[in-house]
Amino acid sequence: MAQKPPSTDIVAGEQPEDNDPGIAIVRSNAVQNPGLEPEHQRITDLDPKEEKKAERRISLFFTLSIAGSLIAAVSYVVFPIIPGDMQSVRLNNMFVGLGAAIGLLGVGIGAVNWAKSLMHGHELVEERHPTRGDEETRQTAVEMFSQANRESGFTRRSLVRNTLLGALIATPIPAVVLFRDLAPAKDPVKLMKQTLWAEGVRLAQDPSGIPIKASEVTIGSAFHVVPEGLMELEKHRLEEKAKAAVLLMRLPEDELNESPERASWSYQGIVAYSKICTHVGCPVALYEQQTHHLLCPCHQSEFDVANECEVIFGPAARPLPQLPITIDAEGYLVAQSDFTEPVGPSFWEREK
Amino acid sequence: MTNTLDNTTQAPGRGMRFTGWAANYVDERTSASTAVKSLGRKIFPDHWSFMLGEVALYSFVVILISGTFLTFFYDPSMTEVEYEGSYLPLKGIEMSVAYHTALDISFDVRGGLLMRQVHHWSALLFVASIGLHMLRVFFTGAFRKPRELNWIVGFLLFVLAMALGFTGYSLPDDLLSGNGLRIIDGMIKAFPVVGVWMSYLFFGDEFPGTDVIQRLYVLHIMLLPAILIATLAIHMVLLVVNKHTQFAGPGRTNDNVVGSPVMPVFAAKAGGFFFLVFGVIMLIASLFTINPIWNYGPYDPSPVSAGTQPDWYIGFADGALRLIPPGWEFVAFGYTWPMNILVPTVVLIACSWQSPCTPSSRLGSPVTSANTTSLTAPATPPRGRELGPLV
Repeated sequence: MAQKPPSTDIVAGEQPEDNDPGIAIVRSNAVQNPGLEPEHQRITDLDPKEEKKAERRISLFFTLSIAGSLIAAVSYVVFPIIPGDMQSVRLNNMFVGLGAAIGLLGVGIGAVNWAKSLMHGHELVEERHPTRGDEETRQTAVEMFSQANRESGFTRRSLVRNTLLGALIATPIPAVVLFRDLAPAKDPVKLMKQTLWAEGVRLAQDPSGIPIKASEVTIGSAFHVVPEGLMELEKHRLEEKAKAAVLLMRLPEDELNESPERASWSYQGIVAYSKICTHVGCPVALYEQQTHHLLCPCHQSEFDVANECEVIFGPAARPLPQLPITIDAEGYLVAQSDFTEPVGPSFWEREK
Repeated sequence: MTNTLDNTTQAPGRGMRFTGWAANYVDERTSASTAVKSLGRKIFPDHWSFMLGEVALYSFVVILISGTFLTFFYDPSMTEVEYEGSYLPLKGIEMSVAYHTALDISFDVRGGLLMRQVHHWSALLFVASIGLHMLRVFFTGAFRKPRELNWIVGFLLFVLAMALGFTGYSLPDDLLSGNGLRIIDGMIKAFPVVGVWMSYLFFGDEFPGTDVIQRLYVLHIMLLPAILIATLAIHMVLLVVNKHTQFAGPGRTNDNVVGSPVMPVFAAKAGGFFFLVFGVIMLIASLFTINPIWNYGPYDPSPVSAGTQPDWYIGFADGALRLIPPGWEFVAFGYTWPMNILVPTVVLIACSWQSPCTPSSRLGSPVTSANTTSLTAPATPPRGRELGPLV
């Protein structure tokens, strides 16, 4: 152990040559290192009474710690969880936790106290060596490598070496293939371009699944909508909902600016737009009735329902896709077809 | 070994005789005395700012302990079931087994909520203390030669901590974390050529699928922690090899370390400090709610709560996505290029590489001083400067 008694190894003025690599000039009048300060005497070093007191204090912390741990265990039984009673959960959480916290803090405070007030207090000095190995060690290491090279012919037998490298590179190939069955053998691009919406599918309320009549949609109202029958799906209910979720709103007809080719997609000011944000797919769930803006709470993209849901703020790049709707013979709102473009976030093959 | 153990000044009592025998037994089979000799009195400099890295290390231990407890009760299955636990507002609601068991841990397992909160709070403390530790290392220049590699290793730990945070945060399968996964799905899909397939394979179907929680669970409790522990081991070994930096002060020079020896002072302080960190986390967890998943409800792709955002340490990435103005997307060669997602992603990745590289490449090699007379071998590269001593 390279320990030296303090304040003997550093003599003031010993290192004027040791220039700071952070500056390029030599400071001739630099402040000299005065060496280690004299030992600081703690009150426990000077007064045996204080030392005794510290001992008692530290063992008190450890005793408190034992008590805390026991309190935690007792609380576990004394504060049971009564089903349906949130207060009982809170009490259980709090008292078990507080007991355990006292148990832990007691050990911590006691141990740190012990170190600070009773253990040998003054600082020790250790020499610092450069991280690099010394010349001899490095030489030996180099020699070992070249010897291994000579004995194996690693650089000489290049054919053997290169084919080995090739073989090693090829070994992970099976692993790449093995991952295909992480997902079923379907084409995801095709799946992303179709939803449950089709001609005649009724618009139903989310989550009740009750179909919506056009007459129920008053001006200014908004509905969370799913295709009728989605809630009864046994399989892929969430996957289908993630694509088919729609927002239905009714605006005064004179406030609705529709392009001629979409004029037939709404019904008396009732419009339906995909609820899935074209940015990264959060549900665009906040509707501002007065300004007829839709806001995505995840990244604050804002869409203007009056203008075919064009993006007026935020990182989204495309308008929300519109679902063409009409009414059936019984007055229920139905889809005219599926969406005419993929819903949700953009992806590479979107235009294909 | 026998020397130091047998020549005790006191008359050996029964306890001492046993300790001596046990130490001898272990040493003859493990050569433990060699390790004790080289590390037992290693000097650690004392400064409050060295505590920040310690907080990170100890909160990670707390994460391991509390996380192991949680695995005994949690089931990562995404099978849909009806809620039958004791939290009345959700009774009868359809939800995944994962969310159900996360609720059970909160409401039906005594101390379960406490352990969940210990786990979440310590995870937050882990990331926070890593951040502060990095600031300390950065602003004191402690990343400079020969410690550049350890800065990079440490940076990797930071990234792993965030990855562990995100994967763990997703496991309860509640509405908030589900929307987080939805965002990840949208970001993966934006990638040119492979995006759609990567998302499809990762989720095991179209989003949300029925596999992703299980896969995240494997990442969260096995793969990522294993990598993190290995990286942490490298971080610690390099720390010992290079020794601590130290602040300037009387008696401190470039060639020494001034401080307390591992045994007993540093061990007592650091060991005690572990209990302090654990105790403070326990105190917070017993008094303050974190991530009340029962308020969010099970994941459903249609609803979302206002102000949906990730834990604060993912905020920089979420914020980067928000910064993009409308309309950053184009179609070229018949394919879609969503620049609104690609630009922030690429910029963040570039920054994260810049971050470990910049300090070392710009400041790493100290100025070679021509008048350094102490370097006899001219081939010897200049040694890294410790924190400037009072010269």
